[in-house]
Amino acid sequence: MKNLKRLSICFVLSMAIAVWASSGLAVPIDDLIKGAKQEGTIEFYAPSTLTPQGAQALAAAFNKKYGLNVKLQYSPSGNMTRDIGKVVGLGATGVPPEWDLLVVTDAHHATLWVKKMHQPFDYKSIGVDPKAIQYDNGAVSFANQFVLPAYNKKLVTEKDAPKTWDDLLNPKWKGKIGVSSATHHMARLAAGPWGEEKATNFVKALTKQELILGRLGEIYNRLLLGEIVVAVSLTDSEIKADKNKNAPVAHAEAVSPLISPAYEAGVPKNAPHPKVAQLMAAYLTTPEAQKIWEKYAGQSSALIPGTAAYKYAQNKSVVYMTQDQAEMVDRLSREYGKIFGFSGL
Amino acid sequence: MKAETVSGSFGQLFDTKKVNGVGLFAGGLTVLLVLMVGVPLLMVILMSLRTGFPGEGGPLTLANFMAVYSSPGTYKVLLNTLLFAAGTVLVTISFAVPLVWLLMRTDLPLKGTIYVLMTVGILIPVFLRTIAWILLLSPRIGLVNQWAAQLFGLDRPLVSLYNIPGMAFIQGVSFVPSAFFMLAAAYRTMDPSLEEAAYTSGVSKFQTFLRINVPITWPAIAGVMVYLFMSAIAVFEVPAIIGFPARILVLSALIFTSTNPPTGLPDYGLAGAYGAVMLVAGLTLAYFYVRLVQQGKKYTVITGRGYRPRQIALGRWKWAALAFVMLYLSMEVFIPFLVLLWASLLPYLQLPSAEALAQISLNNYETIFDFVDALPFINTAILMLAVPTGTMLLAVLVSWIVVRTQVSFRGSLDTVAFLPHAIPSILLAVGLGYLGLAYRNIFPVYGTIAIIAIAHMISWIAYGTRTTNGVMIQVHRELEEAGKVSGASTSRVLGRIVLPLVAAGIFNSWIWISMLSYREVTMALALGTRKNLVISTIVWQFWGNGWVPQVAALGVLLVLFAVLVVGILKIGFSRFGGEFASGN
Amino acid sequence: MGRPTQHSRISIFRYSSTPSLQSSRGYFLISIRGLRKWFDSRRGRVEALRGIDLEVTEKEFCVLLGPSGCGKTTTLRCVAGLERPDAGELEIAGTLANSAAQGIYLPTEKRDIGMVFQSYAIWPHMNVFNNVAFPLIRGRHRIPKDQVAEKVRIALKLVQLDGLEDRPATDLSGGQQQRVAMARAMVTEPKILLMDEPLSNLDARLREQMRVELKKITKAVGVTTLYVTHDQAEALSLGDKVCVMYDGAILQMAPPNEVYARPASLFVAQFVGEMNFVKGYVTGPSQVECPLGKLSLSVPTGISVASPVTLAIRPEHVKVNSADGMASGLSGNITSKNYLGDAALLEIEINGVTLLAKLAGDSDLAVGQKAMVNLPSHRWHVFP
Repeated sequence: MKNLKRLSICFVLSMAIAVWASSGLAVPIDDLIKGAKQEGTIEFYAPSTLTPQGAQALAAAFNKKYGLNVKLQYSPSGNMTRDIGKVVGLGATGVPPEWDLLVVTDAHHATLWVKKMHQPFDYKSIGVDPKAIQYDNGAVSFANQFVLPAYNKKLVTEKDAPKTWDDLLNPKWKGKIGVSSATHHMARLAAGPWGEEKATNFVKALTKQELILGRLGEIYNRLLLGEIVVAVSLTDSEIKADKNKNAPVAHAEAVSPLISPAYEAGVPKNAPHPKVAQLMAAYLTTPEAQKIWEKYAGQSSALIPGTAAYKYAQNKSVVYMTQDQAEMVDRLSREYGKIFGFSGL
Repeated sequence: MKAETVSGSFGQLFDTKKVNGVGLFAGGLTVLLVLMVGVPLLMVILMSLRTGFPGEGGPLTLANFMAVYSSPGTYKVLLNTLLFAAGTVLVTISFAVPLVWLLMRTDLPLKGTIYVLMTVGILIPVFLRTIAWILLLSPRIGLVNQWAAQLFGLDRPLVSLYNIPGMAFIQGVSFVPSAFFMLAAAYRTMDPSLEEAAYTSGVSKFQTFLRINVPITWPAIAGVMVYLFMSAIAVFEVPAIIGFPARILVLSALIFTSTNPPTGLPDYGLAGAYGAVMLVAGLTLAYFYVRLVQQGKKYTVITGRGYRPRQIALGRWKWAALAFVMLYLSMEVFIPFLVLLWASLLPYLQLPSAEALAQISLNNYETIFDFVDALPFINTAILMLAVPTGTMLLAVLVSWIVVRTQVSFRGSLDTVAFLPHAIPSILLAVGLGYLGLAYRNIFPVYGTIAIIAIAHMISWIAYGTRTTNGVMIQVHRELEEAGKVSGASTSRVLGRIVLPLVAAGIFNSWIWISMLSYREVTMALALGTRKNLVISTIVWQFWGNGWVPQVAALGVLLVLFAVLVVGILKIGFSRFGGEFASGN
Repeated sequence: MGRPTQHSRISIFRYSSTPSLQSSRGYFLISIRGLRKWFDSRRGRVEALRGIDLEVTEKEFCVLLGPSGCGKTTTLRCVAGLERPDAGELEIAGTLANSAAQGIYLPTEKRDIGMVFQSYAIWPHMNVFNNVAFPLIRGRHRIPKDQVAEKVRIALKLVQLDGLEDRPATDLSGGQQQRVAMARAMVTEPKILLMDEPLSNLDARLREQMRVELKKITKAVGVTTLYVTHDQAEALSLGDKVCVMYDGAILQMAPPNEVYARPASLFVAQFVGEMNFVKGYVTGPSQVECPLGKLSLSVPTGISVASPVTLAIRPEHVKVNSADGMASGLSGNITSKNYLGDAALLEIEINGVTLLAKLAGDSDLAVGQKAMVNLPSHRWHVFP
């Protein structure tokens, strides 16, 4: 008799828990969808490579999937670092940020995370692959850039192109090599396979090459023109974009390891329309969104099998950034910026 | 007649005997200006004394200054800045002074066209023009160097752009139109019979130029030089595109990288500490400027209705003079525009070659609106109308008080109106932005086009008063004359003579400020949000993203559009204003 | 046409007569023949000078008088070389300075002239001494440095500004500026002195004072002067010869008293001094009929009977007496009286015609009185 009582209590309890748990499982996405319907607008900050058309295509597909009529306001990234700085600054003064969803690189999200500016959400509960969730539920990784040295095909033959990172130190590139202000590329090598000492020595050695400095876009253009013949690192955004298909710039594919900054979507604290933003963040990992993103911005997620990025990353040594590397990447990016000469001190 | 009665009551308003009303008004204006200028300034100083983020509060500390001034790099940068600024001013004056003399004192042909082309030059954003220079003078790919190598068989580049002289040259050329108009205004107040008196004394033209012309216009020239030096210290576009890649940093670049670092967060404290140097330099220079202007005022002789001086006949020198002018215009207008055009017709930027020619198409023009929507254009239009109107209104009021009334503190008013020029525009913008954030409940202007408009107006009131001061002096003379000639009432003089004079002088400045507002990028960027995007920020974004063909197409369209608008305005106004408006 | 021989200047500022190329009246220092100048504007061709012929003898003070726009200043500036005529010839001191036909043009700085401008044109960045010394140091007639100070001192003494050498130009009053301008113009002892309305910017009292001074100085120095003014009182008091100009042409060129007493045209009569005008028509070889009655006066040859004429008589020649029966003449009504202290101007109405009469200040004629007006026939001028 006693055992039966215990059994039935356990049974009822577990049923209750099951019911409660299942309802908990069903609640998150419906809750989000309901919230999105109410909010009706999303301020969407994303790389300019997405282009306004890409943003609207994304919005249309998003609305179709969830039966919504959300208006998407697209803010193309001007300068991610500055804009992240703005978000942090606004947060400090208590002003709500002007964007609901920030699609920026993992290094930029690191800055937000350090300053506790994320609005975390249990993305796993609405079906996002845990591998893609970063920064204590703060951001969702959905697309990967690939970063390698690049060269001008017309002026440098494939044979002479750099084969390793150390090849960049060859004196033959002296005065003809450029480095971009995206020093977080090098910092990732430091936080990853190379370690800080090796990476820092590499950076210091590079400075002897009489580097040309500039932002990514500028470096790309100078490479295009032939003012420089080699760039220390360029992302595939510039190289693969449709409009430049015939441009004589190519990645030095032989170089290893391959650096892969990720694009991640995260919602900042006090965002005006958080529910819509969180839904969108999760949406970006879906296959339809991946296709759209790839079509317009040229990238896909290396974490999702079958995508172009996934295929490209196969059999390669790729450097991804993890959350615990955040502080080192942030610190070294600034330090390398100073070493290269991007700041005066 | 209606006009008479209106100007009649206006005449009463401007009766200088009614001191109380005028004094009060002047006082109010001064307070407004002090607020407009002083508050952002205060913000900047505050920023430099804090190490946190704006709004985070924190104790006042000198840590930023310690960091900045204990680093040897800082002093190298200061030296670079000085050399760059000095070089720039030298280049500008070398072009501007002969140009002013040629266009105002000689019988050079095609003057009207030259005036218009000089105005057009300002329409092409500086950093787009810099691309043209890179294509010409880059040591590796520059066309000039390549052709020189072919012609003379050189193995090293003939000329390199990536050094301080190169930077100073390009920046200097871009300042010439402003310098020209400022110097022209000064020349106009110089009595032509001063030169004629020298000729009749048997002094040669050259000696006259050296010993009469130059010393008398020297305060004006020196004033312009000081003004330009202040601009050159703060400017950042050319140093960013040419200096930065070559690792030549100037002060403005440091401020920019502090507020727009490649990674991490903006360090406003550092920016403020760097900015403090600029401020001190700017204020010192402002002091000299004011002294020079005062000295120059002593030299402006009250002339009678003098005859226009007989224009010096250039004779054989006409062709040399024209060549000089064409050389300048090529550098300022033709070459940059051609390069823009070239870049806009190609899928990606390349040097001229047969292969490139094969790829010419209008594709970029057709797809422009895939990349940008209408809002930036609307915002820019708002700026181009509101900013010059507001600025000139303030400037006229200030000048009226300074020149025409006896208010005791009018000298200080003039100085306060000039101060914004001593503040680097990026600091002004950051300070204003901070202010807008802090008081967003009272003045909800942060993030709107209004805050950019305010920033612009504060910035250019100094320029506005330079020109309206000159105009008011002429007006002052006319009214004094009228006082001498019996029977002419103040109101009649106001209506018939003063208004057209004032209108012509103001009109030119109005257009000028409108153009400046259109192409200004530093402040628009610093204060930019999605809602107040303007064309210049779009262009900057495109450039940063490497979308050169698109930005070139946009640039070409904008230049053509602006030429059209300016052309129509000028023709329309010259019909109305008669001889006063013709290029004066 | 050769260059005059240079005589050594023994005494400073005393010009000696140069003997060559003299006419009956003396040597011509300025010789203008057929000077024309036009401007092409939107409204067509505007003629500023319609053929000026003028000769100024040595030491002569020649005044160009006329309303604004008549071309007097243009003429002066052509002589100075500051304007370039489109036709005609100009000789200064025997040298052909300008010939449109031959394409000769001597620039201003090579002409031996001194000029005083309407605005004085004192150089503001120099003091008084340097202003006056500048022509000697940088001009055409440079002299050794040690002689400069002496010459400047003498020039300043001449205009009564000695002692003000160190005064900055910006601290000078209008009258002082004017004198500095004079000193500067004469310090090089130029062949001719050109003056462009130099007194018009001074107030009335100063103007009269300076007028007297100016005459004294130029006579003392003996320099040939060409003077432009719109003020006819100035012209009459200063000039040895007055050229009345109008609309680009010289209407009359004669000594002041002739211009005043025998004006060559209606315009001259009306411009120089006060004049009464009455319209009438010729009724006989010495008779003119007008509202004042049939007047017997000499009619100039060439005016036929029945042609309309304008009669003119100076106010001071209108004799007015009280109508007490003793005097004869025309009867009129005194309609207004303007008392000037040394004179009294009366307006008298006769047969609908109002005449202005100038009487002695102590005249006791009053408004409303009847008066007898006497118009001497030899005082009338007749103009076609």
